[in-house]
Amino acid sequence: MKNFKPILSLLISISVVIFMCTASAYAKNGGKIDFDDLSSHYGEPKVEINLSSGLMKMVGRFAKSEDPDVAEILSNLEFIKVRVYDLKGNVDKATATIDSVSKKLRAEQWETLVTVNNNEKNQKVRIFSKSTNDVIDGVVVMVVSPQKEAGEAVFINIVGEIDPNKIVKITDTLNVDIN
Amino acid sequence: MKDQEIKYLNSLFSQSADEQDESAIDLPLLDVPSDLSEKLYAITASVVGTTKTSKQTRVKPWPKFASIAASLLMAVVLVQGYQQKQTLSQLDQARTDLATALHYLGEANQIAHAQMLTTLNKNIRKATFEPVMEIGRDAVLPTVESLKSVAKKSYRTL
Repeated sequence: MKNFKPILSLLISISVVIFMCTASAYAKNGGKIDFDDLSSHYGEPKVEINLSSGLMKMVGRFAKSEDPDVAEILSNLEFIKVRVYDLKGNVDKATATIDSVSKKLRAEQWETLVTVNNNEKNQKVRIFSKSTNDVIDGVVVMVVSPQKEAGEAVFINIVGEIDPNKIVKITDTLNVDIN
Repeated sequence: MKDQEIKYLNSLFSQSADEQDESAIDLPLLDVPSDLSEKLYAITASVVGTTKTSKQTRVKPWPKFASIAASLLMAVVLVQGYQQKQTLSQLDQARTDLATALHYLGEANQIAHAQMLTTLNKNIRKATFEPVMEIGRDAVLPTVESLKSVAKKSYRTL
């Protein structure tokens, strides 16, 4: 019985550590969502980006010498997914997707940050965020803007902590010409 | 000649083990045929030759090892260079992807910001200017009406 006690305490401590690890992993990946695949309606996405935390940390390491703040921002990001579709003049399916995803997110306790319904321009914007213990797990941005060329739908999912005010700073530091 | 050699070898090996032990104590001297001795010398000479060549082959591996090591080193350097190039191209791609993602995020932010400003302006106008205008209209209308009636009256007099 004397020998059993240390083994039991060791087992308990191991299980506590495993539980803590899985809990933190859940918190980190809690912000990850799947958008409906719209390629059957609009063809392959114009822009398709999947950035893992490893790649972002690598970019952050290289940016550290130029701007340590940006490196820190990037180190807090776990995953970025971007899908941009050309709507070819038909916004219906994209608008329906935005509605269905919004409904799903609200059911999963995501917080609505921005809702824009511009009926004149037929424009829709939705920004959601999810946080655990005051730490943002993820952000979802969905935009349908028919004005741009023949219309464009943008779906973005960011897992990790990001301050929208710091976006410009990161873009400036990266110094990449998007157009 | 061959028969002589065979006889000699037979006599040498036909003795039993015990006899051989005995002969070791008192080894009998036999005449070796001249041809056989020549052959035996030839064998020893060839053995000496081979030992020389084996010495040469023992020396040879060092340059071989050096060349293998050099080629391995070159391969390692090349692989490292290739990996470095790949990492740099991956990094470039990641930077572009990240910038693109943030560009779209910024655009969404801008649309939301612009819409919020428009909505705020609209509501502020509704809440402040329009009531003021209405108040103004309410204040001005009776005066206008009275002026109208005065004008009408004056017209009548005319």
